[in-house]
Amino acid sequence: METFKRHEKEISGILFITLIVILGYFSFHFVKKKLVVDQSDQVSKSQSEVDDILGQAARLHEIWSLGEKSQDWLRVKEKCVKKFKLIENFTENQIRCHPIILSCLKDFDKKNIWNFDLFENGELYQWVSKSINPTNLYDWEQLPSSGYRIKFRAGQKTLQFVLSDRCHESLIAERVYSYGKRSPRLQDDYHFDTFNRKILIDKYLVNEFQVYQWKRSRLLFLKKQNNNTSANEEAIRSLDRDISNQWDLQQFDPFKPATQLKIEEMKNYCRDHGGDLLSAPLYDAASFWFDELQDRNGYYWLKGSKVNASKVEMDCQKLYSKECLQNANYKVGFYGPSASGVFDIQGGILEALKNPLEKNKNLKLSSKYFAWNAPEQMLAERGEWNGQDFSLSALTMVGSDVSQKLNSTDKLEIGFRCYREL
Amino acid sequence: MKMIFIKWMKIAIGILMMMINQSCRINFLQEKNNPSFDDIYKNLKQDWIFAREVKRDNFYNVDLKEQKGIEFKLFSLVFVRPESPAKLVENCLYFKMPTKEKGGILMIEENKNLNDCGETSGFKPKYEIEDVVQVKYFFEDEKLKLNFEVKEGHQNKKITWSFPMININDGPSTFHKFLPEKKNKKLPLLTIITSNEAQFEDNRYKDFASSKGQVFRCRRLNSECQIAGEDLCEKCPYGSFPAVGEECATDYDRYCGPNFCGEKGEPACPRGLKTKESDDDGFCEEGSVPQFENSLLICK
Repeated sequence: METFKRHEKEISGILFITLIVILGYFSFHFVKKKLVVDQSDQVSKSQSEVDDILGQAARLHEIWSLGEKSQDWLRVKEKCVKKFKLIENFTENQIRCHPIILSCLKDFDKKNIWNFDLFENGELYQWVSKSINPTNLYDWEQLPSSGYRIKFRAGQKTLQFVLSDRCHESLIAERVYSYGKRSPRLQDDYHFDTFNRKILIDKYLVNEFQVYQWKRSRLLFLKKQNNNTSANEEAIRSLDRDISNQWDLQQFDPFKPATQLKIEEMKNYCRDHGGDLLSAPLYDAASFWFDELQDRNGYYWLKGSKVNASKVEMDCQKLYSKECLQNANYKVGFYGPSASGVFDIQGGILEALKNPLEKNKNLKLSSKYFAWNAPEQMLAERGEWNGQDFSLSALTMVGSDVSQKLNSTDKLEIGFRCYREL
Repeated sequence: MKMIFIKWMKIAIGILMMMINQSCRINFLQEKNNPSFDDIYKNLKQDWIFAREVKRDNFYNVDLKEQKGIEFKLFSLVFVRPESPAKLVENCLYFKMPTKEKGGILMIEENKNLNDCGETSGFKPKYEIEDVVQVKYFFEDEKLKLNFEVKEGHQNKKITWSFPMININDGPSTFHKFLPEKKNKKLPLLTIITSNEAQFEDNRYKDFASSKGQVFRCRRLNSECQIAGEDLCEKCPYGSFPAVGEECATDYDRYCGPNFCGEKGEPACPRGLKTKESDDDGFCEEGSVPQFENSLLICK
């Protein structure tokens, strides 16, 4: 006891150190364990957020590609059609890969909650393409030729996706085709082929909505480029002017064919979509029945030249001619398809083309401006458009007087479509 | 007593050191070798969602039961890691076949340089999964499926991993009607992008665009009609188009758009590979004729 008292301080010190060691050991393990648990909680939380977004993206991808056939579209269709006044030019299959679906799912889908995240300017989607939205190098290569950028948010996590807008294209068969009208002698026909080429042609004419999205994105892109050259500033002014003048958003019919673009604008539109304005030879490839090369008919639905075109009965469901104006409105994407799967090949509105073989013959004539039995309604009948304006004086037809053929009150409606090669 | 105190101190410090050492060792071992299956799966899933290429000739079910003790490369996978700046990273997957004495090992390596995956694994796989009995992998519904069995006591535990691969550009067809089956090619409709905001100032894309009087060739074919060098056409901001070259008669070189074919001073528009009624391989607008210059048919 005496010894203990004598060494009380030392013994207390030893006990104290031992206690510290034991406490230190347990605290170290406790903190470590807590740290690991917290980290794994964070990982699994962040992973479940990513999983949520991926789940939504996969679901949306399915709806996007099924379009008019998806149950989700059918659920919101009625309200959607009403909201966007989709009546006149609307054929339902065009809703596929169209961002109107996104807006309507967001507004009217009661079954699912969509965690869309809006862009800075409050928009739900932005049209992008490789030329208009060059992000960093890797993304830019990954991007499809064009599509709609959207954002999803779950918790702290946001992921961006691009939904391709290219579901309405037809791949042209690889074979030999003829250009232009049938010549009396086979050897006088001009032939070309598309072997080893993957050519995709728009099934439908480019519409107002697409041009609006393109111009808006182009404007945003130019504004963000920090390019103060006068050409850039003029381009910005011009786009600003176009957007505010041409589109009255209240009266906006998204599916109406775009008919206000000059030919250079049409080319720029197609180039920004990774392609080019459809050329006359490819137009022919997409429109004639192609069973017999030298035996082509003047109407896209007729096989062989033996069918007498002058005796073909009028059918406004196949070709919308002048006579059809009285019975029904012209409906985009309704007439056809041709053997190659392309719509609105004949009738309806005029269509601008690029024509390297006969440079000036750049306008498909078959349209509502001509009577059913007019020679201009035949395939490969082309006029010359100055590419600039839409008055009658802008059109020349070899061997015909335009003023006699068309009403002086007519304003030319000239649409276009694009093609691209994979 | 002072001596006893010092002795006690030494023992206590020794015990403390041992405890710290033991803890660190456990910690080190756990971090290096023992992430759980779930952790590996989560980490891979987070990386591979940005996969853009899976390198393997064909995806097919692989059942490697018979090859004892041999190591195989299963496949490699290139993905974009969305840090700033974004980086391309390659994961290489290897499987060492089980023997009677030792279970199989599934190894996942990570390479910062692309095309560095050797035929067998290197020294430091990022993940190692031991006691694997067999592995199967295949591509289905835009997903890469990796299924394997791990020995657990006397039983095998089946593990099924599924990785969405929405940015991989080959797979089932989306085309229908009008097309012969064999020509079908899938066009992906959904792309996940990795940057948070577009970098609009980046002008690198302009290097891959043609302009009037100047074309950028993105794919060249040699005289055997094989692609010579790299195919850069995916980089073309305005798409790409074929043009007639001098070396290969059965296919086309490709150039980045915009396409001004047929115009004077620009590539001739290809007339076709089998349409040989005349000598023209390409056509030009009136006033110019196709002629070869620097292995390209242009309108002069």
